[in-house]
Amino acid sequence: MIKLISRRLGMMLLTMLAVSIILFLALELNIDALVIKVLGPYSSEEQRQIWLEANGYNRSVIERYISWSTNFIMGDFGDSIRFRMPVADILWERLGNTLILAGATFGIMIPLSILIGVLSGMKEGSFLDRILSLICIITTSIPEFASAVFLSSIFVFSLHLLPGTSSMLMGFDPVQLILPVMVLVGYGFGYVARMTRASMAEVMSTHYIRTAILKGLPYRKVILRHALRNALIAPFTIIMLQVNWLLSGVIVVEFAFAYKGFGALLLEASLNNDVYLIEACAMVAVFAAVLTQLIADIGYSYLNPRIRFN
Amino acid sequence: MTNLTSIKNILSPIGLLRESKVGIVGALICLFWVFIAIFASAIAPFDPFANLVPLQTPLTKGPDGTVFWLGTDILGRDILSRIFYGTQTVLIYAPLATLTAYVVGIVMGLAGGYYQGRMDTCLSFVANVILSFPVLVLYILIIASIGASGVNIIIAVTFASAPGIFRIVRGLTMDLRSREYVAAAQTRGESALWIMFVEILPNTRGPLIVDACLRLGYVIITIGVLGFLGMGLPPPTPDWGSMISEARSLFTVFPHIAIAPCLAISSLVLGLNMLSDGLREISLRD
Repeated sequence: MIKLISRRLGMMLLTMLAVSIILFLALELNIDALVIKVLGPYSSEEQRQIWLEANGYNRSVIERYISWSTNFIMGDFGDSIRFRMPVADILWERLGNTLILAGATFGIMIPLSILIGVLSGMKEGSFLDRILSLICIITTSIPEFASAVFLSSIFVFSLHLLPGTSSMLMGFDPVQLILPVMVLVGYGFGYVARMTRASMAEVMSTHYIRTAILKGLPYRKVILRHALRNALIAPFTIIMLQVNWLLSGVIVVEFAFAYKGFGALLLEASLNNDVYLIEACAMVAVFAAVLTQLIADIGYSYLNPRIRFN
Repeated sequence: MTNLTSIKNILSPIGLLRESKVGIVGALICLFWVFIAIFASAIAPFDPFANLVPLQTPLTKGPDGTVFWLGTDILGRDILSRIFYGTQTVLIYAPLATLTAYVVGIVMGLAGGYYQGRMDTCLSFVANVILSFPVLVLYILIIASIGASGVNIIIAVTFASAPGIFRIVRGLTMDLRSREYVAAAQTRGESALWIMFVEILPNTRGPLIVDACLRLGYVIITIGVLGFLGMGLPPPTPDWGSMISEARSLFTVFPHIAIAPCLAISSLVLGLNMLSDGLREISLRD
């Protein structure tokens, strides 16, 4: 177990290192382009030289990368060009907002998709299974921006039930979270449900389930005691990997509903060439993705009784 | 003769589609949009760039008595015509981008799976690093740094999708390279390139065709998302994502401008997903 964890951890650190080098080279290798982004296109040549000198950009690339990455690990991400304040101050607040959105989404999506997956996987090919599978195909085919438009035209435009934006200008308001969460759950649950269904169907066709049914156990007991535990091992990995998908989804949804979260921040930073903010956001996004992958890997081998550790 | 049979072999899963209802419906939806794309100039009632009467609701009549079936947008352009022409945009860029991603992914996957060793370790590491980015973050970073244009979207899609294809092809190649016919070809003294592209590649087609339909759907969504976020094809190209993005500010008053392209993109992706589901069902049956 320890060997597995340390190997995965080493891989994770290596990936983060590679990502940081790529990001650094892509955004900071060309200092002439960088200084224009920071000071704006109308700065004079003299101003640019002074800025480069003051911020240590006349050192070699390797020296700059080392000082950049050590600052980064210490939590100093530099100043945002657009917001004129330290990146860290904006980043943590926005991340908190996104965590609320993501937490609400996962809290609804996971029980829903497991329920649907188990119901349709219990009897493969049944009427219920076909209906649920069709629903899953349809919902996973409607991209987030489209379902945002459909749902707002129903709940905002026609019924006037929900607010159309989620900017939270008057303080936190849970009602404004309903539409974004609906959009994210709607697009995401189908995939997890289908994976759960496949896993459930596989377990239902095993000998031990047949034995349990044949020896006369009540069907409910067979499902809850014997099938469910084994069927939920594979979906666990899928659910953890959904964090990566959710990080893409929140960008669209936060943009669509003007929610002040991490995804909208990343988009705004990219559209405005806010170099240090882009670096910080991208690193945080990749870190979250890689960390959940690590947890998924370790969790899977911990949960799966077929893998034993010596 | 051999050419003909090999083409037949590759097309055989498509012929089997008859056996899956979901697959047939999916194929029909896709064919419908392909038809629209090919005949867009013949069936579109208006010029997609012409500024007629702005902000008409669906089914209103224009000045010369012709009907705006889906209404007009803020610049007075007929929405139905723009959707028809937008089909061309989507059905040119998305398959092209998917194809280039496949070429890169297949070459990487064959090389990694066939040679293994250090080459495979390097390729796998590169793939892992790219795949550790949340997809949309990667797209935004690429488009923000090289700019938004048709070619750049193809580059971005290739960069972001090739690692996933690499993984599939690599796994299949590793499995297939231990088969007898590969050993036979090696003994005959065939070159490594011949073995990879003639002996191994055709036998990976089953999973790859299913994956291609699914992936094409994702690429269509991605192009739509980029358009929606304002990073898509430059205006005035009729592009579904950009149409939705342009309609956002007016959404609370004229929702129809955004709804029509949303329906178009959702139905096309639905068609592709159903098609790939049908193909998967058939390939699992035998």
